[in-house]
Amino acid sequence: MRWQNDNLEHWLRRACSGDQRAWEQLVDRFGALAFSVARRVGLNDDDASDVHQSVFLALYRNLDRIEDAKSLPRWIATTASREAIRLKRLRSRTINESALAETVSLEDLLASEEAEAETLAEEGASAHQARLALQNLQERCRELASPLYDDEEPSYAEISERLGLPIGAIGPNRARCLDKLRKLLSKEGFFQ
Amino acid sequence: MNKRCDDIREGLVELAHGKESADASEHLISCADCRQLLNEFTALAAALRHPSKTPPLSASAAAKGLMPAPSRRLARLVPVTFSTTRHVGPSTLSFECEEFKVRVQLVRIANETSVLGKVEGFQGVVSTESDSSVIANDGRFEVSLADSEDRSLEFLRTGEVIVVPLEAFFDAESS
Repeated sequence: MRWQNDNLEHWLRRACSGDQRAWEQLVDRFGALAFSVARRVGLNDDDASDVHQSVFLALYRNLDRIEDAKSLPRWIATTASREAIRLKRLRSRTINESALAETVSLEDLLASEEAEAETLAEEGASAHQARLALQNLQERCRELASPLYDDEEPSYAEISERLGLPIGAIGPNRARCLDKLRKLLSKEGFFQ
Repeated sequence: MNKRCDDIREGLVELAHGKESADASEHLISCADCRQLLNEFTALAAALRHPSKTPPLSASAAAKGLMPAPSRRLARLVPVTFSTTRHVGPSTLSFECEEFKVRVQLVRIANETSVLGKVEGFQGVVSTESDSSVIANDGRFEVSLADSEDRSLEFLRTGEVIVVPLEAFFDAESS
């Protein structure tokens, strides 16, 4: 089943009622968001997995407190970033403790971490929203737009061969697809 | 926004992805609308370039295991009444299962089918494959059926899912 924002409320409501299948859908849908944010903080896979588990444990305990399903991606990203930053600090405490005591007050440190967590959460939630919107484009558009974000962007010749599209048509078609995506996201308030 | 703006749309996408476009760059000097568009394409590119990492299967499995599987059972239905005012109004079926009574109406408007109902003796959520509704204090609910394959109601409460097939409903309606 393709996910859309408008059926997130459905799955969240079912999970709230103890439906394990719905809970699994939430884990599948938002697992990468929680894990990616933790990795972005600089944690290794093991620590990021711990953060992932903490996030879903917190969600499980607070399912009935998520009043607006649309806020869930941001909630997950924020919880993940705070937990990841906290874990990163714990991991590096022995190294930085003496320097910390001399140069940074605890209040300043926490304020700085909170600001970093907010930035990471915003970036993570935006990336999640954009990817979800990309999935809702027609397949042809996805095939044209997605390679732009690959680690190694394929050449126009490679895209032309893969999609059976003249090289000269790739740029204009891709621009139209990205414009559709931009308009979709604009309606969701992405650029505000 | 004018025809020239449409013509350089591709160039804006190129610029947003770190490539060069002399035409678009020149046009941007005098066009505030396109500068705004470029900002949006740039924000979009940044979001999509944000790396997405899939968690290890073991992490997903551990998270999924946080919620225990509810007991899941079929309700044994005893139809009480069935009435239909074909072509005029909705069909209505009342039935009882072991511990609660449900009265449901099937309402079709254009291509959409909804189930309106009232349940006695059950508090929780009622759900179909694609829709769900918290049962109101007076027992009323409304959920939509996604397609012809979506033919059951699930009544959910903590630790328990009671599946109520609607086949009897459709069978009675078509006979």
